[in-house]
Amino acid sequence: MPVDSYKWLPFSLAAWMKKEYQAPDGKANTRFTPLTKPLSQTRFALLTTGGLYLKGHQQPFDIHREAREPEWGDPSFRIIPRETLTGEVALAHTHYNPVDAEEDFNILLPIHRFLELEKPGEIGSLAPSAYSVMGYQGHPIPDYTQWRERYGPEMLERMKSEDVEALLLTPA
Amino acid sequence: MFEESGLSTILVTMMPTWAEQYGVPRAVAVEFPFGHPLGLPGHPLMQTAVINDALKVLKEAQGPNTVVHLDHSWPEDEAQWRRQWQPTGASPLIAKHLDQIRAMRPRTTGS
Repeated sequence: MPVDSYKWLPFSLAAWMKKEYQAPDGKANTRFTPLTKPLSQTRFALLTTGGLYLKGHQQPFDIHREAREPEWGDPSFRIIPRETLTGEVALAHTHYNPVDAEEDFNILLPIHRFLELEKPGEIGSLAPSAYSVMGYQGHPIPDYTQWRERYGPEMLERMKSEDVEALLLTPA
Repeated sequence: MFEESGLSTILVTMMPTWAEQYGVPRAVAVEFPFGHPLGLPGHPLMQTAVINDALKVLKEAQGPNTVVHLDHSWPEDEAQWRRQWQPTGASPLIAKHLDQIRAMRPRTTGS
């Protein structure tokens, strides 16, 4: 059965989104790097758009400015270390209910699940850093400039310095 | 950005229609409520099942724009979860466009 992308949305919101979000066809330009190693030798990083941050240690994503400027979204990112424990993560995201991910951040950033896969060698390793952004980057024209020119390259540089080979992406 | 720099990526999405239109290197689609790409909190077996499916596609995809629809079903009440994933208050974007969104409701006979 194909997945229904609009299953969980109220009818009127689904109809509005179908009208508003007409993604351009970019399939001809999709880049692709084959995974050339077995999973058991591959080093992974994790990246979510869920708006996770370390409670008491990092600034939340700026949802106050977003409240003043609904067409803007915070483009910055947070590093979530692989040692992070349940209860140490909070969320700043206005577009879904964050209570479940605050209870168990693995539903968005599965650090503990990847450590479980690392232990018996099912994956090579999980890198020291996982990454969190807040996915909403504005509407009707999302502004990806900061992701493309600043924060994306900064995350990529850190991944490279930690010898990351594969990346699990989990939008919220 | 990541693929062109030599990383292989796998996306877990609740909106495959966007992935299929825009194009992604590899994706698995799950029919789960927003905010829950890997399932329910406190259910590690459910989370690992989705992760293992994602890793299989990461390993086996032969080329770009590979989108595999998974058949995990949401284990809890659907009607309840159509509300439960939503934020407690409308996001600034939704609040701003609420009149437009309400106008999308189907007209009932006689109105």
